[in-house]
Parts: sequence; C-alpha cells; structure tokens
Amino acid sequence: MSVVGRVWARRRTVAFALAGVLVIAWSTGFFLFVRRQAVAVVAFPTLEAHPAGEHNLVAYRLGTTVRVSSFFRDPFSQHNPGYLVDGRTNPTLVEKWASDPGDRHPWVELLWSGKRQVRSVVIRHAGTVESADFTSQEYSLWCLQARPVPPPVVVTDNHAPVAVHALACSGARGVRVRFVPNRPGQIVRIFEIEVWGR
Amino acid sequence: MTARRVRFILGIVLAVGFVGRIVAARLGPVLYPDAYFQSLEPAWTRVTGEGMKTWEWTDGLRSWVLPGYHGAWMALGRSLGLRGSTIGEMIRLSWGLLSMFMVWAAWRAGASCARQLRPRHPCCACGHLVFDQPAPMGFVGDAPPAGWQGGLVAAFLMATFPLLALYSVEPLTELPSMIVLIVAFALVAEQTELDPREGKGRAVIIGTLLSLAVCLRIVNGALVLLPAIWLAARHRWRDLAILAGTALVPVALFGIVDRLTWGHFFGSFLAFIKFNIIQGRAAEFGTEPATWYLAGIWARLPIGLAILVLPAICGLRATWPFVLSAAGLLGYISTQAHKEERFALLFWPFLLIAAGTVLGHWLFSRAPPSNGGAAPSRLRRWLTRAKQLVIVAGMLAVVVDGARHLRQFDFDISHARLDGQAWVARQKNATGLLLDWHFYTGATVWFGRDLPQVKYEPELLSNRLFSHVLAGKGSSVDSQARRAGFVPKFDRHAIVVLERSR
Repeated sequence: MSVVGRVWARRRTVAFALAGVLVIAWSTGFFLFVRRQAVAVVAFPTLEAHPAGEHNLVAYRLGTTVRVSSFFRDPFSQHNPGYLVDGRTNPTLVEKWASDPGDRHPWVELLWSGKRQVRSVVIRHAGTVESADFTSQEYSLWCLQARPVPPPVVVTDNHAPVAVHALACSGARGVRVRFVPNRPGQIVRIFEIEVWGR
Repeated sequence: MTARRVRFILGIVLAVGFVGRIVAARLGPVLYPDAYFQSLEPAWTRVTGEGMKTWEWTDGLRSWVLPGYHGAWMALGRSLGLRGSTIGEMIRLSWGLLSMFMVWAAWRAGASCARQLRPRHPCCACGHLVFDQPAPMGFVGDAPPAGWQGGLVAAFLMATFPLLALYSVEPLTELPSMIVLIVAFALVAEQTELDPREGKGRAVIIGTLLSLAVCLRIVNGALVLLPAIWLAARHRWRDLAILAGTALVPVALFGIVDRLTWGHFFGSFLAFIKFNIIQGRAAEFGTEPATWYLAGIWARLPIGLAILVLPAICGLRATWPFVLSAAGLLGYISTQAHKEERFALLFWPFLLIAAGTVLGHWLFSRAPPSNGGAAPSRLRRWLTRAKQLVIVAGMLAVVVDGARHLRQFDFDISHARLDGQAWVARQKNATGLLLDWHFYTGATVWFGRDLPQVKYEPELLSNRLFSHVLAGKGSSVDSQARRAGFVPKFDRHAIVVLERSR
C-alpha cells in the first residue's frame, strides 16, 4: 500500500491528531492572549549613536523605547506615545501623548540602551499649546534601574507649562513618570519629555 | 460511477476550491474595513497595546469571542516572531480553509436532497408516496452514496463560485456564522433521512452549530426556524428537544464572555439589539430602497442567476428548506433600512446547494429505456448528451458570469495598500507611517511594528518622526508628500509609499 493509501486508511486518526495539534496551539495562544497587559510600546530603531556630551537621552533617533500605560486611540485623533520624543518645537494639537479616558493611573516610561547618567527631566505639558487647565499638576518621576536607587521626585502642584525637574541618578536605563489626573476621568496630555544627561 | 471515481472528483473539487481561496486571499481586494477594525484590531490592541478603538468597542456593542479567537493566534504568532502582516495573511488564509467546510456541507446536503428526488410510488397501506428503493447515505463498498450527483454539482458550485471565494477569506462575523449554519443545514438534511430513533449525537452537533451561528451573527436568528420546521415536519420531536437543550451551550458561552469583558451577561448582545433594532440607528450609516438586494444579486450574476434559480425551484420537493431560507433571508434583510452586500452573502450558499442538487440530478440521469426495456435509441442517447452539455455549459456560465461581475463592492481596499504597510514595517530605518486613509488599510495588524502609524495630516509631514507616507498614486497626499521631500520607494497598483529623503 502506498503512503497516500496508508494515510487515507488512517484518515480519522490523522484528522484527530491534526485537530489536537490545532487545539493545543490555539489554547497556548489564548493563554498568552489573556495574560497580556495592554501596555503600548513604541520602539524606535537606532539611527544615531548617543553623542559624547550632555544631550537629550530620549530623542527618538537614538533608539528610544517609549512604554505607556495607555493612549488616546480615537481613530480620528490618535495621540501616539511616539510624539513624546519627536523633538517638535511647535507641535499641533494632535502631536501629543494623551492617556485613555479610562486609565486612572497613567504612566510613561522612556528607556534607552546602556547605562546613563541623568541630570534633569523637562516636561512640556498641555499648557504649552492648549489650555493651561490641562497641564498636569501632580506626578512623580523615577530613574529606572539606577544604582544607588535615588528617591523619586514628587510634584504636587505644578502649573508651569514647561516644567524642569532635577533628577540626578547614575547607571539608569530609563525614566518613569507616573501621573495623577487633575480630575477623575480627565486625560493626561503631554507634548514632549526630554531627559538630559550623558 | 464507482466510489473511487466520485471520491477523486470530490477531491479535485475541494482542491480547486482551496486554490481559489488562496488566490482570493493573496490577490483579491480586501473587503470591508469592518473585517479588520471589528475582528482583528481589538485583538491586536490587546496583544501589542497598539491599535485603534472604533466606536463599537467604546460602546460595548461587540462580543469579544471572535477577537478572542483571532487574538490567540496573534499572541502565538507574535511569540514565534512572526510579522503582523504574516499573521494577518495567515488569518485570511485560515478562514479560506475553514470555509471549505461549506464545500463539504454542499456535498452532503446536495446528495441528501438529491436522494429526495429519486422516484416514488403510492403506498396503498400507508396512504402516501414512498421511495422505490432504499438509498445508502454513505460509501458502501465500491458504490458511492445515493444522490452523489447532486452532491458533486453542489460542491462544485460552492467551491468555484467566485464571490464566495472572495468573501471566504474576510474575518467578518458573517463568515463563521455562514459556515456553521450551512454545515448545520447539511446535517439536518441527513438527519431527516434517518430513522427517528437514530441521530442523537448529530442532533447535539446541529443544536450547537445553529446556536453558534446565531450568537456570532444575531441577524441570522430567523434562519434557525427552517431546520426546526424541517425536523418538525418529519415528526422528529426528540431531535428538536435535544437541539433546544444544546443550543443553550453557545448562548451561555457568549453570555459569560460578555460578563467577563463588558461586565454584564449578554452586555454586547443587548447593546447590539438596542442600537440596531430598538433605536434603529444602523440607518445612520445609510439607507437603501427595499429592492437593493435584489438589484445587487442580479448585478452579480445577470446570466447565471436564472441558471441557478430555475432548477432550484424545479426541485422544490427536495430543495424547499434551502430555497425558503434564501428567500426568507432576502425578504427579512430587505425590510431593514441599512443594507450592505455582506448581509446577503448567505443567500448564495443556499441557492448554490439547491440548484446544484437539481442540476446534478439532471446531469447524471440516464436516458430512459425504450418501450419494452430495450437500450435507449440513438436519438435518445444524443438528446441525453445534448442535455448534459447544456447543463455543464450552464454550470460554467455561472462561474464565468460570477467572475466577470466581481466589481463595485460596497467597500474594497486594494491589497497593495496592505502590502505597502508591510513593506514599511520591513524597513530598518522606518520610524513612523502616515496613512492617507487609515480605515482603508489592514489596520495596525499589517504594519505590525511598535512604531506610530497615524492618519495623515499635512502638518505632520514636517514631523521627522514620520519617515514614510502611504497614499494613492497621484493623489493630493502623494503630491504634498513629494513637495515636502518624500520620494517614492514602493509602487504597486495605484498605491505608492514615499520615504523621507532629507
């Protein structure tokens, strides 16, 4: 009997085996799907090396990765997290990161390759382009994976549209900013974040 | 005809059908942005965090069952390192493969219905017509099942009908609902042939499939009536009871998924009913006259429609459940103000099975013997040959006519748009993509990279974050991008991808 003939003779077994493999594969995928946390990531390719002197560590061309807890993803006005590091000096209203209205604890992480020394963080809030009411007032900043672990910078009553915060740490691989929405249900709007260091 | 030959022909029909679906998946246009933004995008958003949220997903109008099904494959594909476009193409192809169950169902249903067309004689004892001979339902030794003629032609039409092949790769809710409904109808057709004491397991499957079809697409709920009437007409009360019981399983599954995702049992179902039926807000998306579906069907098959409808009606004794379902569906959806071609897609499998049954019965029926039982005369034999030639020509005319009128879809997207997105995703220097018409793409899945992909605005051209622009060739977006220093790098079927040069 040929190979085809033998397979045909055992077609029920073959069909059950195939179905079993598919079910196992799908179940594995479903397990991974359910476990996923909806964290948006924008990972830029490295187009330039970090310069030697002090510079903005999170310029997108340096291969920055931006992680956010959520973003405003209305089809007609997407406020992608990539806008946080686009280096635009005169952005339009669209070119900002905005959190999802349902996100009660919005946060942003800006990550770079290697260990870097951080000196300060500049945040261009909503007030630079739109109403000052939207400027985030309460947030805190952390260095990620820095040694020794520095205390976070906690901001409780910010009104500056461009806020400059001293955040000194060495050996850091990124910076994290956690926001508290000004009012429940209000979204956080940030046009740009710069992390200065070397 | 021997069983071996019937199996061989059936194998060829299945192969042809699958090749047609591969061609449709790879070369055919993409139909309906909804296929991507309702089924794939929510799943992709959960897997990657990237994606758009359409209003149905904000308002809780959709069930997570279908995105959950797709999401599992996406999560697995991502963990295996597959690109978004590869996962998307595989999902399209997998639906094409799954739609082959309809070809199998057409074979079974066509054969079952054709068995009902065999000669009958009056039964003096029982008072109604009975069949002359018993008819085997399966392959017995070297003999094919009775009615194989109808089964083969129905399967051929289902496999080769171009419109179905094109739609069979779209991850729309209409498709899985249609597949399970047609399979359920085929099983019901066979169920009605069984002894009333047989077929308990089959009834369980039928009940589950019918319920699943309705849960996937609520509008198809009315079509469940026909199998119920069919079984009731054969006094299969036990089957009906089993059917009603097992139908609760998919209903419970969908209800629980709604509870886990939207917070309420049947939350998306109730929101859907409220929006579409109670508030009638589907009309906000456009209204059409009551004859719109008829005109559309006529436009899809101006010559072939008569070739299908006439035999389907001639064989009404056997094909009535399919003919009534097709007509009932058309009648019901014509009463709704908002109309789209995909809502009427189910009309075609019903019609193809009904027509195929009768065409197959006619095609393979032998020339009747002359008076006295002698071999048929030469004239009769020639007439039979001529009839067979006409039927084959008619079948081919249906396929060719269907292929010639594959245009003017409600919404179609050139596959080149998706290929353009996938091309940008492969570029190492890509940092962001602007889309001229973001709903007319493969959504975020086809881009599949953790980079911004947003709707084009002229002001965004000066944002250096965006390294690429996808636009219609010669469009205003194309010319604006060129003026801003972008140069074309990908050019296919009126779609161009431009790259920032300075």
